[in-house]
This record gives sequence, structure tokens and C-alpha cells, in this order.
Amino acid sequence: MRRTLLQAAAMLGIAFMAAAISNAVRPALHWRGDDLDLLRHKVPRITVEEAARAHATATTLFLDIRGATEFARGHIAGAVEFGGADLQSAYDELRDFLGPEIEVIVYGDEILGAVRAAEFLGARGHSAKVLEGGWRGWSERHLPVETAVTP
Amino acid sequence: MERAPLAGRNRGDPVTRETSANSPAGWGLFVLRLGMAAVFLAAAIPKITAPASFAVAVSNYKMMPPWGVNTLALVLPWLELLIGVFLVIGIWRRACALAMAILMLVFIAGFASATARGLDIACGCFEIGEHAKASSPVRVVARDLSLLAASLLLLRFDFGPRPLDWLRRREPATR
Repeated sequence: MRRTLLQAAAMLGIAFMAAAISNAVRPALHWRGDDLDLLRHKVPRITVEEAARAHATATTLFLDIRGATEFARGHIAGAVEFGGADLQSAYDELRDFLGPEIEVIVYGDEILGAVRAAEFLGARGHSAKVLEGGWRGWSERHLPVETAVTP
Repeated sequence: MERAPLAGRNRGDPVTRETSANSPAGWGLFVLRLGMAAVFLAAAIPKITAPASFAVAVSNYKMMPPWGVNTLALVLPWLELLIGVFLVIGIWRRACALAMAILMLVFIAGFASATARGLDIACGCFEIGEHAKASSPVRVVARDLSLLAASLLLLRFDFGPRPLDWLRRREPATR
């Protein structure tokens, strides 16, 4: 039994190391957990049904935070890329289009990224909501999508 | 390293038999190991590729501080992957069984606790992300209990064919 316990402990140690290496190579989460606090903030959310209705209005802007490849493969019709780790530069490019009447809906694959972006925009005085269900929720219901057209 | 030829010879020893490696019971255990490996690999891979989604699922349980949530979200999938791979190869089998049993107990306790507190959440076992639906507590606990039973069985009975031996072209080990 002691050998078994030692081996089990070793497996836990190997898992820790694998996680540390994986998270260092492709950062996903902060070990301290401070990024998770974003979820505790009251970032407004919107369901796919409501978003579909809002899609028809001219004052709604959808922001896609998934990245260029995913965006090209398919995105909500009329959506604009808002990707990358650098929210500030993405925001600077977009700022002129974000008038006070514009309602922003942010979506992605993982809710944490959308929450980050929505919070960033909300802090700068824009009305930004997170799409519940994300890209999958929208595309599964066969709502309007388009693929990127290379100029 | 002593051999325990038959059950009962030394109390507490895992049951191993010299000729049991290729017996029907041995093959049954082998298939069970592969089945458990498949479960754990299927559970591990989506979480390794999307740690943030898994962290969200774990935080829904509201049982741990944020650093605990993220640590678990980062480490657990790799442990599950390791268990799956080791089970397939056939190394450290009892350690894998022990780890599986402990994990199952933790999962059952965690989900039962969340349910008792009135949380209607997705268990985060295999499906994570925004599209994961809330899990039925009965189904989750029933499933986890059978997985727990399987791991305890594998902990107690540790014989049967081992792919590692095939690779090394050796007689099946009796331990």
C-alpha cells in the first residue's frame, strides 16, 4: 500500500508540473485566481433570443473576441473583431464607432474572455453585454452568420 | 519483493495469482481498466484545451477561493489524463485506481454539497463551456458511484494482461 500511495503522490506531482508547463507555454489562468474575480463583477448579460432581436436594430454592434482565424471561419453577421490580448489597442481602433447610442454585445467561445472585454468597455462608459451561450449558442440556432470576405 | 500467490495468504495484499494474468477474470479487469481509461481521457481532454471554461464550471460550485478554483482547474485535467494514459499502458495500476477512487469521492461530495445548497449547475465532468446544461444530481451521483465502485474493484484486484508487457515481450507479471 505504501508503494501505491507514493506512486499516487508522484502522479499528483507530475500533474502539477504538467499544468505549470502548459500554463506557462499557453497562459490560460492566473494561479492566484484574480482573473476569476471578473466573473463576480456584475457584467450585464444577454440571452441569444434577446440578442437575435437586437441584431435587427442598427444601433447594436456585436464584438467577436475569438481571434482572426475563428472570425474568418464564421462570425455573427455584421460582427466586428475585437480580439487579442491587447484590449486597449483594439478599443482605440473601434472607439470612433462606439457612439453613446450604440449597444455592444460581446461574444466568444469562453465566457471569461467576453466578460473581460465587456467589463473593459463598461468601465469606459459603453453599454456592453455578454452574450450567454457565446458563438456556439448563436450558430446552433442558425441565426445570421457570415464568413470573412478577404478584400 | 514478495509474491502473493493466492488471495488470503497475506491479508491486505492485492489479489494476484500466478496463472491469472490471462484468465477470463484477468481479461475482464483489463477491459474495465480500458473503459475507465476512456472515461478519464474523455474527461481530461476538453478541460486541458479550455482551462478557463473549466475554471468557470468549478467556480460555480462556490466551494473554494479563486486560487483554489484555478489551481484545481489547471491541475485536475492533467491528473485525469495521466490516469488514463497509465491505465492504458498498464503501469502504476493500483495508484491509478486509488487516485480514481479518491477523485470520485471528491466529485460526489462536491456535487452533493452544491445540490444541497440549492445550486443548479453543470457538473463540469465532461462538458464545459457556455453550452453545458445543468446536470441532474441523480444522474451525476449514480454515474460517479458506479465509477467509484469500478475503481475500488480495480484497487482490490490487480491482475490481468498488461500492454506494457507486450511491448517488452515478456511474460505477464504477477504483480
